[in-house]
Amino acid sequence: MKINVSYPYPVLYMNNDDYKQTSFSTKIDVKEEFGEVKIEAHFYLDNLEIKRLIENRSCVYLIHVECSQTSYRKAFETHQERLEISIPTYQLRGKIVLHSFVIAKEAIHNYTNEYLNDWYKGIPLTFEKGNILAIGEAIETTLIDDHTEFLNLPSIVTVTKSLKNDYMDVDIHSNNITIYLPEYEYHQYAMSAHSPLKNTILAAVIVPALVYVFSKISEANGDLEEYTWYQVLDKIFQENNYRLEDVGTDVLSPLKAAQLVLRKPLKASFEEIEKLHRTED
Amino acid sequence: MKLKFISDETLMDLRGNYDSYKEHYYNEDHEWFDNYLKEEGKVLESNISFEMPALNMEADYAASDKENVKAIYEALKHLTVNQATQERLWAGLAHLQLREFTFYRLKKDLENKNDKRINTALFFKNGNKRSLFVHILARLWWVGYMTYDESNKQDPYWLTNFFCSKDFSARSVIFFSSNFTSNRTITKGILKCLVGLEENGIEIKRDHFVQANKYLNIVGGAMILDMLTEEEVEDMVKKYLLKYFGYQLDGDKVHFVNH
Repeated sequence: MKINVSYPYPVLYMNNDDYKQTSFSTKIDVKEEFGEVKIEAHFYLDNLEIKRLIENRSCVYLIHVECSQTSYRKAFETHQERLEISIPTYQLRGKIVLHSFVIAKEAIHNYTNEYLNDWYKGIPLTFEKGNILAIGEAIETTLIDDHTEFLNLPSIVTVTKSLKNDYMDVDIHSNNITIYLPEYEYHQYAMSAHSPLKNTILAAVIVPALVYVFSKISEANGDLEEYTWYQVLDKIFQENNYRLEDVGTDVLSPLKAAQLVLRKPLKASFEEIEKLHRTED
Repeated sequence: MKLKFISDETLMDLRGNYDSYKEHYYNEDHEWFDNYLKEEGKVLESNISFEMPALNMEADYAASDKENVKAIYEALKHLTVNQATQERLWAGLAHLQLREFTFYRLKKDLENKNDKRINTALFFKNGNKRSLFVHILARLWWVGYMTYDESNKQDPYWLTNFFCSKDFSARSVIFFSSNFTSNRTITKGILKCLVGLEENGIEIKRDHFVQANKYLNIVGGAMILDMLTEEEVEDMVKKYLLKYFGYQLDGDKVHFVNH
């Protein structure tokens, strides 16, 4: 759902000045438990006139839940200052967006409010059913698929064999990042799980692939956000106090981002090589 | 019988190495696919029960698409929407139990070696949501799911029949790529309005779907459409389309207004 900058009627919203010295805000908590997504919303409305409209059932508090991937879109209403919603997890997947509002349940004519900005003075105001009186906070959250080990990088990267290509290639337009290796390279890679050079092989394959991935993020303009790998990386970055959106800007280069995510892969690789040399000596 | 699907590795191999495998598709080489999928780890069995649907494979896609939406949705109504968004399930079915249908539905594209369409028909190449309405099997289920009307006990597929009566491929993508058609109350309201117009002798074309969506997109900027009832959506869209196309409502009958 897109929130507009301006509406053909006054809206109590932190990002405009249709009203003065009054506010509406919402605290939304989301957690997942036993196959259900539980949403708890608290509405804080500091405006007597709108409160009165809610009490006499002309308006409602509303939480709008949208999950584009599963075509889930639903509005939940209440007259109370607290709302609990449970949605079975199987109805949702990936990114979920929640918005909060106060909405007209019926037409409201001759609307007045003492906190309205001066420019509305003397203008007759009417709300139709479904019009927005106030906008509160919105949040986005991401459900990670059960079969994806959360925060486990290899689970979002798959290495597979390319039959035609002589060079490594990476496909990012899917829920997993897929690295295609030429046949010989792939077989060597596939046998590397127990190799004493395991980390070195990983660094040789995954580091350049991730640098490629990160170099694409800044030019993708949000096109990649729907994919699981993006959402998992986004969480990893947030939990480490970085922002995935910053990758590819002056703040964080793709090269450094790849090394951060893989926790200093070159060091691990050289330590391995050093150890191997020592055993040979 | 249980529903089978392909592993992530198999999916990425078929997707990524399409250029190496494409001749097997062109040649409808069942033997090659059988042998390939026989290899260990290629196919996984789910715990989802599955009865093989009797799919319609007549030459006229306009007729068969409509029947197959119902056949696939009936056979797999018990899928959760989460499961129904999984590429490996639909790509799996297209290569496994419903491969015959794949070759039937892509006959012209396979003959013409239309690699782009073969790819979008078998894999999710158009983004997570749009692909659901582009993939040859996923779109059958999703159109069934979005148009099924459980409130009509006698004929829950009456809106499906209307929606699939023509222009199925384009309609599916255009109509369901809107965000608000995710809400089935809104979807049903629009479809009921269009059925009503058709019953009054108006031939419903692609532009009717486009204009209905455009209108709701604009209105949706100033109000929360999801609060409306089916009847309210039906009524709003009807009023707008009558005006836009210059139809006149005379009692229950619609007439064209001469410009």
